Amino acid sequence: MPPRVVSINLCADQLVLALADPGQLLAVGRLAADPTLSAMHREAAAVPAIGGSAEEVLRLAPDLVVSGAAQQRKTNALLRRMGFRVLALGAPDDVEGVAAMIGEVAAAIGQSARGERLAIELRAAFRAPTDPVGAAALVWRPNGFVSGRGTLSDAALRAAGLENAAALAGIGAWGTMPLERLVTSPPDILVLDDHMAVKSSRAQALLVHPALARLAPPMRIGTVPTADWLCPGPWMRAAVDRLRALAEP
Amino acid sequence: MLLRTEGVTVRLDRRAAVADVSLAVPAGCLMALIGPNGAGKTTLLRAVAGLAPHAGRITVAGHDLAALTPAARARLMAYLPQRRDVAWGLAARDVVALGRLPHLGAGRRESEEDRAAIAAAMAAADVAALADRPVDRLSGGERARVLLARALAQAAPLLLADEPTAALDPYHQLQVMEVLRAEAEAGRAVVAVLHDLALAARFAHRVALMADGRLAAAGSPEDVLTEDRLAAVYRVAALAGTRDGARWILPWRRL
Amino acid sequence: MRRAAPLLAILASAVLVAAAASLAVGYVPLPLADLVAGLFGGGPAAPLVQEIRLPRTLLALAVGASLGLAGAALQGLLRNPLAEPGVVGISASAGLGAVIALYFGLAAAWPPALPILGMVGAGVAGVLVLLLAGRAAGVLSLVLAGVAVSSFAVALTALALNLAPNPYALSEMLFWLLGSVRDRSFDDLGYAAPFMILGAALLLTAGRGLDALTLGEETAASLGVRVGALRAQVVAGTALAVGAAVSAAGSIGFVGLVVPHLLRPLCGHRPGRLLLPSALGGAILIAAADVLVRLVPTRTELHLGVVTALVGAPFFLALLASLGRR
Repeated sequence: MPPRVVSINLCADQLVLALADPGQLLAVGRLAADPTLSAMHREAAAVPAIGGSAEEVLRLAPDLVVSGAAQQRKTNALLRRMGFRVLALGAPDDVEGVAAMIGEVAAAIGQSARGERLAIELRAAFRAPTDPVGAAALVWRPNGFVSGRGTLSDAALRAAGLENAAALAGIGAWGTMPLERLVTSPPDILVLDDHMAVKSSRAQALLVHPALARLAPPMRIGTVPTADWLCPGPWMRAAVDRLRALAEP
Repeated sequence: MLLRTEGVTVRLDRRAAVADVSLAVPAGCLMALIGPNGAGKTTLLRAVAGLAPHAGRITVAGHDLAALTPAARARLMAYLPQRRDVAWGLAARDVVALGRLPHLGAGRRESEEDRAAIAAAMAAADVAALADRPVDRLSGGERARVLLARALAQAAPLLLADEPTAALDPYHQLQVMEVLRAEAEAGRAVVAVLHDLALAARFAHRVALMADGRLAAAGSPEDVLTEDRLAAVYRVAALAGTRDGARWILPWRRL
Repeated sequence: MRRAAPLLAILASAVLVAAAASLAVGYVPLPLADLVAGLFGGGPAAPLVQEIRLPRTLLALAVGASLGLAGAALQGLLRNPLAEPGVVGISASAGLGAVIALYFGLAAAWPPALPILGMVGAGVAGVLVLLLAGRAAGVLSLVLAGVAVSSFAVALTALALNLAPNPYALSEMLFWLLGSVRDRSFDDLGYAAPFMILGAALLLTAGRGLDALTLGEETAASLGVRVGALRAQVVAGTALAVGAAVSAAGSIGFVGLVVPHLLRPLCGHRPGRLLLPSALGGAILIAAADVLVRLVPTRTELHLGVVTALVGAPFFLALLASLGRR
């Protein structure tokens, strides 16, 4: 009998939705059903949604609670105090870390075989191509945040045969690239989150700055759905596929 | 002597604002502390109140000021500063009741004696009718009298008042001076800084005249407020005379 | 004394009502019988009531009381109705201390480091405001000093969250700016409560001095008050109460402003008599706000500071305008 599970964190939600048997999940967080944020939103629709408070968890009395280590810090502490088993997930920054996290969650919910299969698929999806395209791509997020070296986005770019322009510019895990620098040395491909393709905030206004529009062509602009790489997990292969398609000249 | 200062010196910014002042005020005496602006009157009063560090010795009812705790000091003397700020809109009666703080116990409950002292002080200062009025809605004169009642309610043998008649109309100036004199005659020692020579001459039992931080003269109004001294210290010529057995004085022109 | 006893009785009853509402409202519907049984004994709801709702309710009450009381005491000390832990930057500085304790591993190594650094932050800000604004703070100098201290502390908090190995800096910032008592346990309460109680004791015993201070520092001194000691007592009490409250619940603004202002006329405008009612009023306000954030159907739970700001900011502006007119 596999343990009955409640998940209270968007990224944890998607992992348990990918790994658990139907019926094993008592509830997941409300955001899991949001198609703009969650790659597993269709699966989530079949599972009860909760706000993620300790009260709701207590009522459901699961065998295991899966949550985020940082965002649910207080709730985790309270639930552990009350005797619940809580698996709090970190934020791995490389493919092996994600594979290990998948394995950990799978083992905890009694789905090790499925976990192994997904981990293998993930590694395969991220395997570097033998003939890299070599074009430089920049992942551009609101307020000029870019993904540099040592991030999953960086790994996805390399898996698609692309160079990470942010890493080339010497930007570490997380950093910002000023618009001026982007304009003076534009990448071959600018990759935007499609969640941000809507004009609704100042951050997004920067994303469609007229200066950017004048760079393309020759710069190509593509999008990757936010949900495909917001959280680490096997669904990231969709992001890699998307990047491969963008890399095609 | 209820108040005695011996060689009191107060330095402000290295300048001696008060230099070597020795004074004695017995119980039953209203002493007017007079002198031109900057003579050191307020500074001396603050030193006596324990608010300005000083050299020399001050004794109140035989106690060395330096050896008194703040609480014991508060039971020996009340201080009425020139500024009449009241931060909040307390009822006049509650302002007067603050004078009883040195006498209240830890529970801060008013005893019969406290209530009697408050009522007596309010009656003496003629503010009984204002009891429930918020103090921030009172006129300047009303507020001055409420604060005077506050100092009276402290029921200390020594009362120090800094320009208690400033910014009051003649009626209320006379009223305040009558209260101070009556309090002195009831057995307290009262020291009042005054700018109005006429009030000093008319009401004070004794006058202390200060000039440049020093005591220029002390004694009865008749002895101190002579034409020569007024000319020397204040640089004014004054009219003077006697009416109803009291001396009157009126500064007339600059010299 | 006049009117004090009935006011306290009314406020105490309201505290009980707010506490009961806070226990009764949550994310899981709970029949009254189960709630009562769970609170006083066993029954199926006992873990929910005793481990989740009770610490949350108690923390909301304690945090509100600390903020209301500190506001009333600061106003008495500075003789200014705008003085408030949030307005003068004490809350933000406490948040900075707590962030440093949390994200540089100090709190993990030794849990009391969290409230202690929160209190250090609050204390430093308190001293800074006294120095910057002066002893009898004018409206303008107090507000400006508060803006300076507060902005600086918020900026340093953002810096600390950026420097710390923490990918969720932005969402954490929201908590430290707006506060919440969501899913707090008795552990959280246990670390903060002793300091809040100690701080409250310091503040509640300052009433006599604060009353005397109504007449200015010199008159207060002549009434036997050691003004320097009083100042130290109020700043220390505020640092303890607010520092501990913020480290447990984030910074929640305007409580110390709104509550004393509403209660002052009912306390005869006496700063000393205002202290205890303000503590009770603050407890009521935060407990009620915490009921509201659980009832409003937002996608993620509202922060408490959002509710208190919605009530408090218009209040603050009205107060500022009325002071300006004088």
